[in-house]
Amino acid sequence: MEFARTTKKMREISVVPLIDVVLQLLIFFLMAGTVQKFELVPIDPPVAESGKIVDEGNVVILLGKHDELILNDDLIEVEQLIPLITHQLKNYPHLVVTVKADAGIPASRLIEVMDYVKAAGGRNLSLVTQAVVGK
Amino acid sequence: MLELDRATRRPRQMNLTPMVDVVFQLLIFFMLTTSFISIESMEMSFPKAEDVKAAPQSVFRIFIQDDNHIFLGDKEVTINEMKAQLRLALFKDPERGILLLSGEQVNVQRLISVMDDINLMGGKNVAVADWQQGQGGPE
Repeated sequence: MEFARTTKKMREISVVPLIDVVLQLLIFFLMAGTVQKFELVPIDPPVAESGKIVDEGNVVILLGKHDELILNDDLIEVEQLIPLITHQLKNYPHLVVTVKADAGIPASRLIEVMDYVKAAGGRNLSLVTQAVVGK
Repeated sequence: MLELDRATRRPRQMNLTPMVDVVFQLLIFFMLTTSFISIESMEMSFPKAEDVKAAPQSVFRIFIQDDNHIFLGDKEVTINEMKAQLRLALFKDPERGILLLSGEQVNVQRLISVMDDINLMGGKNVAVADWQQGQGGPE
């Protein structure tokens, strides 16, 4: 038995529905998400309810999962922290020092860095947290 | 008079492929860079030494042990009891100093959670310090 063959040439597939869907997705991601700031090390900030949305200051300290200490995009040792930030804090004592610590690291490391910031003359500290999901 | 040739063909459908390419690039970019967690900050300020007038015995001491148990002074409390006592203490004296002492094994999430509760209860003068179990505080 022979089937009737289609005699027409194959038409081009219409891309219009595809564009519709892709544009919808694009608009969704544009509206719903916020663009993440790229960090040198991945940091998962601790969850807290009382956080406020604040811009990060000029002095940013990152405390990564694997003992990294990064000050304004430079990997440093703890001992270097005081001389490096004292200079900035001397001119602007009310400068906010932003500390981004990973939720999983020991609290003693965070406290150590906080003590150093205090010793360097810092008054205002901002600890980065993330909002509770579904708040 | 010169007559120009009119285009006799019907206008073709516009080629949409380059647009699809661009839109896909944008979509991939936004999918990779957007995040749905919202980043916030907890503000802290260190008091100047001369501003500290409170006598040490009036400081509200909260200990977080290595096994995450919370002690108020010598007494073990649950997180809700801690909040209740804190609310009471801060109602009497909103400026009361709070000293949060965390053990060596405590992680940042636990410390921040307790600080979060203190903030929610209205505590303003919070100090954080390291504490080794067995050196003072609850046994």
